[in-house]
Amino acid sequence: MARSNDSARSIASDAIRAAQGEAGAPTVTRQFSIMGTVAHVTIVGGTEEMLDELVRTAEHLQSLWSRFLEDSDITRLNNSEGQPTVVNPLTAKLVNEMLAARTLTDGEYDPTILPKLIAEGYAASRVNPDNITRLPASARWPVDTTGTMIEGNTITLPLGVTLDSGGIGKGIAADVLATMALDRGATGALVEMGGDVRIVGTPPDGDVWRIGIEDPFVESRSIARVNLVDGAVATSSTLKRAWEKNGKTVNHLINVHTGEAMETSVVTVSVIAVSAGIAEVITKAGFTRRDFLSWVPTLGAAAFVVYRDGTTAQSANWKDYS
Amino acid sequence: MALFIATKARILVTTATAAAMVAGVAGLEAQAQETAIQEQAQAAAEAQASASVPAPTPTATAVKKKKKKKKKAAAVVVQAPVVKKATKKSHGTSSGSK
Repeated sequence: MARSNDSARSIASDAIRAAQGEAGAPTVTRQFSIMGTVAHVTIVGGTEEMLDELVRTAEHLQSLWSRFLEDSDITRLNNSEGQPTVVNPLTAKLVNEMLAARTLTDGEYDPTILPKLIAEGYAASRVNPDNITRLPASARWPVDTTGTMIEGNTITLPLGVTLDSGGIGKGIAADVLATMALDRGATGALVEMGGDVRIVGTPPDGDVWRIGIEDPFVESRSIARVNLVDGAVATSSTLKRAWEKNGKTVNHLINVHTGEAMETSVVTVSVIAVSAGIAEVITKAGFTRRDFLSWVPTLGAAAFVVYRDGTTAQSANWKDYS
Repeated sequence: MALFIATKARILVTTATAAAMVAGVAGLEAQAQETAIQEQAQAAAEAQASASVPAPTPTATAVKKKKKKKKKAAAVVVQAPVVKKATKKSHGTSSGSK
């Protein structure tokens, strides 16, 4: 019975999308603050009510995943000190994705880097400085996540392991919202959260989604542009989320090989991949991995890098999307 | 420039993950609804790969005309299809966390 209901809903959704496509689907957009950044959502064949629901969903994800909130799932996990912790199913999926991403990137994305991020000076929320990440004395880095147990919605992190959803959370949130829009009957959607862009379905005009890559030195300008029919683009930058520490400018990207803020000639890394979550984690490797541009295509992704001196470089397959 | 044919690919892991998350957030206000949705999300999660940590694994591939030259075993990630050049205004911008 459940399967036939799902089929009926799927057929209905497909019919709605087909009808809206023929009629010239309305496009609605919204911009809102979330997860310490600004999100932009465009829904083709959508409604304001649909946007409201997406915003509520994003806020719900934030309430579960923010390390700055005392009662979030992530904060509870981080203070569990080896004890089993029941979390929302969404958080269980997030943690699963975090660990998978660490494997995918050969550790260049590390969800356990939080103790070092705090040591570099990023303990308080930039949006509300009264919200401060608190970790137990047992928190440490580097740390082995091998003993992590995920049994349904119960997660047991090995003692010492703490997690930060930064570096993957916005990407996954963009994926969730974009898929949700289609599920609710939209014909297409673009969700951008903190530079992570996920697109699905039909764009408002033409047959491709056109995504600009911001020039890190001139914010109002694009340094490159890609054309996609599906997938995502994510960009990480050493210029955003920076602060002074001991007279030196540091940023939120921590070098997983040194445990210190990234010092590199790379300013931004942009990655095209199958999803925003995957694209986002792959960008981290662009700041440390010497063979990054030849490695990225082996993951089925493409990359574009901007250096401090203004020069750029790209993977061999980047041109296939531009 | 290679031209890829856009297929109606299903990206099981990422889409199912997102779908499970979508099912999970519906009915936030009603406790009974949230429980039902959590069960649905749980069912969706159980339908996927096991709880051991897998690398993101797509199940669909874009049709490519080019021959693969890679010798290394590539992680199986679906490539976004290639599309033709466009000269119109961008729909969005990727810029790094603000």
